[in-house]
Amino acid sequence: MNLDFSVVAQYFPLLLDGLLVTVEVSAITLVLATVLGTFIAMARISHRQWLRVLAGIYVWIMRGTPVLLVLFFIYYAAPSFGLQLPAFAAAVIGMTLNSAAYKAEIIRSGIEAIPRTQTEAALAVNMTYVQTMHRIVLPQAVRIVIPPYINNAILLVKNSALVSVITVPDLMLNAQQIVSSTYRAVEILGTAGLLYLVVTSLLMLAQRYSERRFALPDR
Amino acid sequence: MTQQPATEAAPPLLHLSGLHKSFGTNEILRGIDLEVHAGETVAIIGPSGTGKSTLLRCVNWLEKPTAGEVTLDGVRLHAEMTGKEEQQAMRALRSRVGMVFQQYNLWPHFSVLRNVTEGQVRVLGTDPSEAKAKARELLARVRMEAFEDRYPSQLSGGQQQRVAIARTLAMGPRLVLFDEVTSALDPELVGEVLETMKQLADDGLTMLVVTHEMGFARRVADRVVFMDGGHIAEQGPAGVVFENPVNERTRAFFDHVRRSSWTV
Repeated sequence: MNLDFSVVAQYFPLLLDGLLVTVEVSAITLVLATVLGTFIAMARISHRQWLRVLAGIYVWIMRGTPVLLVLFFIYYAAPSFGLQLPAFAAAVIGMTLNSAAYKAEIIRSGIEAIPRTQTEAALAVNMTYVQTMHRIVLPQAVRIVIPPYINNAILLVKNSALVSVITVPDLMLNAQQIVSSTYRAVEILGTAGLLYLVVTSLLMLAQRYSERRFALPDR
Repeated sequence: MTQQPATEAAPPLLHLSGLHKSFGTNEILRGIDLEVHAGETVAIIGPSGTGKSTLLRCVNWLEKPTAGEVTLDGVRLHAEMTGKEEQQAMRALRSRVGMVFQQYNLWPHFSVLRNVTEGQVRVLGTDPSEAKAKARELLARVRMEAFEDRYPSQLSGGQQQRVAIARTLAMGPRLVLFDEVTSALDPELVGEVLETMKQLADDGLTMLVVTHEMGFARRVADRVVFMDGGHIAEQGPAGVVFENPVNERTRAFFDHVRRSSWTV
């Protein structure tokens, strides 16, 4: 096997362009999915039955269908309903819809792990439901949620490679295209893999930092 | 707080009437009528599982009664209320009544000081620096002023419970409910909490106290309520109930308590 890494140097800017798109798709999705997921989680534990049912159906559908199908659906099937989206927007929406279902379940498990007595203490000082969630329950749930949440975020970054199939020029698509024009699969895919590792490693570092940041003091 | 002598004319601060509470088919409260006057300390005693804690939790609507009504300081809630009307009345009620729990239920992610300021700042809209000053004053009152930067997990049970009392007082309640607040404590820590409560009673705070501490009920309470099977079986001045219980069940309960208490 003869390796030629000059091709990596030559195409590195293109790979970085792709990486930037991957990071953008992942970061925007992460933020939107976290917000949407939090609301879905609260709907799942609501007193109102219709909200619980609605959120349950959402999670059932989005967790039970492939992201790839959802991406295709939004990009190729939505125009049948008169909704023509740019590839990037379709990618972010598809990834968000899928990811929010997982985030919702992670956040719900965190909320439900906080003892009911914590809420009662907040109600007893006359906090509203929103204040109780915002000040008492969610800050404590964050600590529990960090490991599965980051785990899910890492999956999200890797799954974002799927947006290449709906023509979003992410790291995966760019790498693929460089390979098909240079036939340097080992060098290019190897480099792309390393770039993915850099991003996911940063997330792992973020996990370590945030676990310390939210840790309760020792006895 | 100054002691308001409970005159005949003054309406009671708290009035419970016809309170019923069922969980499914299990009827816990079977018609409770009770009045508490401003400045009074009322102890609720009785066997386990007779609805003492449930009664307390109905007073601040943590449990919604199945029937009956709660009137506190002019705010009236009844079991038939729903929706916005209930929410509004409930919040008005909770602004007047505080609660101290068996397991303290301090917020573990907040420091001692923040536990006492949070409600003031978020609920009452108190200026943070003002809230801190008041919190420090109250922490001093429960002798926890040296611990304001600690976290709940770094405190003993008795210390946590005293912080919980300060947290409750910070909201300026007209009435404070104490729900078996020493039951979870190691024996050597019970005294410091009871001492704090006695101080509050002496200062004229209106207190409704569910307790298994018979010595406390007898020495500190103005009035003792004996509950059995979801009813109030007997009530009266502490001395009378303890010395000359009229009710057969009350007598049996005291006998049982005396027989089963181990002395050193």
